[in-house]
Amino acid sequence: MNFIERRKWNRLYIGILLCILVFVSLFAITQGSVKIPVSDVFRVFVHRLNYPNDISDIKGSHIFIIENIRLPRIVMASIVGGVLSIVGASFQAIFKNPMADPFVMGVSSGAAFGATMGIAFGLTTNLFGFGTISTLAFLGALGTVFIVYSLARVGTRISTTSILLAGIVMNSLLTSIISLVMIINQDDIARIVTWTMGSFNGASWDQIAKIVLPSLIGFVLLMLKARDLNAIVMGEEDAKNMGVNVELTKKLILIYSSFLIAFSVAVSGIIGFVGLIIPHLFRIVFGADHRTLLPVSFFGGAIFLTISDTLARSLVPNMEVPVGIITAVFGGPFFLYLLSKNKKNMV
Amino acid sequence: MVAAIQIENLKFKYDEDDVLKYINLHVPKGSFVSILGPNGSGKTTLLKNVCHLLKPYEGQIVISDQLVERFKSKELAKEMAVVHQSASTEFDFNVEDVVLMGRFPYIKKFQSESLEDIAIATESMKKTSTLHLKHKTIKGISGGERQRVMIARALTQEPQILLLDEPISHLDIKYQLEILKLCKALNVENHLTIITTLHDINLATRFSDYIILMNHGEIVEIGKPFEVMTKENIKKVYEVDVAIVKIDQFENPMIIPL
Repeated sequence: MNFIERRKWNRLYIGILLCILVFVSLFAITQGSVKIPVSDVFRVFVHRLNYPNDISDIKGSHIFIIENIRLPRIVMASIVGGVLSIVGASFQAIFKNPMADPFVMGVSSGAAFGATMGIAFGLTTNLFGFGTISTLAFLGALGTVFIVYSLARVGTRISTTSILLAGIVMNSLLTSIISLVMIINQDDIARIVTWTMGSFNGASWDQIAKIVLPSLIGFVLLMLKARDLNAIVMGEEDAKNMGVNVELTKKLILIYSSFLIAFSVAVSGIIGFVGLIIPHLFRIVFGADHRTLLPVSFFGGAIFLTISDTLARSLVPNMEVPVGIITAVFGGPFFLYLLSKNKKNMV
Repeated sequence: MVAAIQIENLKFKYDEDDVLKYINLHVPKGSFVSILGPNGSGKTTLLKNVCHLLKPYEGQIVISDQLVERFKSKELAKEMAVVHQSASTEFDFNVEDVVLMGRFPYIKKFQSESLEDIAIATESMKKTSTLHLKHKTIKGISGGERQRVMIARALTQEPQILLLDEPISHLDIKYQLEILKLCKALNVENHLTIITTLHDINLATRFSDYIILMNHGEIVEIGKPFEVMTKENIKKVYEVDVAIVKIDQFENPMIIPL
């Protein structure tokens, strides 16, 4: 297959992934404490598209669940999953390290830390159109990236061992502080767990409205750097001599990523491993070209997190498991597998 | 003679150590130049100053009549391509993708590779005999093949000058010859100015128009191979006694360590 053909195929793959996401979402809507037949879901959607079909036989509570509980939840899980995944892909590229991920590196915790501070101190004013909470989450994420990056850097090389150690310690430090602040603030333990292990329990159209535009902007900004990322992963010196402004690109990617993570974490809490699993697997399937990898990873992350969230709310009857637990159950073993595979490069 | 590269009073420091001490150099357009010298003599540092990865402490470097720091990075990449020692293969690209990356300085922000770009990349793969590898991944080919792919990528930048840092150091003798013959062919047929650091003094003598012999950050001698590679110079720089033997096949003499 030559370059042009591959480009065509890649568009097809993106289309296929989008279809899978739609099917998964439809299935996810029917699942939960109340099972709703898929035909009812269809009829409600068709009705909403101004088609004059009769839905008077569907219970009002079901319509409410479909439209205002499950659908926003699925849309939000998709956006957050996609965002975590493209940020993971970008981190892996600029750190040239397949184990980089916003959660493993402590960046998600950094964002959550910023957001927690905002909530705890009641800073809910609007700043430049973005909420203070999101702004603080952004600063928290950026600060953590900076600390982990500085600790892991040896000259121009990034040590995998240091990045993992620094990330893990930052992670545990920040979640501890978050929990402490929340306890002092008299939040109950359940809320703390929900926040530090992620949940879409509170998903609403309002929240989606807040994250759609920033996520889209962040995605486009990353896509504009996709070719630069391709060159950088082949070697920074090579990239510089091909005309890539490597230092600037790396800084911009860290800023864009922190921006994306901030909005996602602010609405969902800390959800781990999505950014580790999806880009890694998709790089094997679709190749390393970031112009393809970023969009397919977005949809892959969306599908993965939608499935995880569906499991989270239907696995245990009448109880909700934080979605971060589900992703960790998949992601933990995957992380260990990567660790054993990369062992010889790390000593 | 028109200069491809002109270096005047170049001085470079790592912290307080003078790694390069007042280098003066004139590389004629279309020549094949090898930089030789023991480890730590400053060969690679000199090369990295020329390609603007390192910034000199003093002095100036002129590339095609313009100071190197005046170039925008993309403009410099159109003038000069560099093959560094070890490109990472952590991320697995197709050979064709890697070669196409050489079009980076030509493609604008919202564009992607045109048919013309693909044709140029294909041409570079033909010149480097890597066209048959184009669907393979960069991990799945041998060291010698990978080095040829890197040269193909450099050619895709359509440069006037090609710099290579130890292009043959990890290869066996078959590939060493193959890579240098390829460079020579590009030099002769495409009038590419080539500057390469090398360890093998015999291969350097055989393929180069000029040799720069370096030691302790200084140029010991610069000139035609037979002028530079004398018993005395080699003794001075490498601390090794050698015999110099003329073989009919080659224009330049062979150097045999004693």
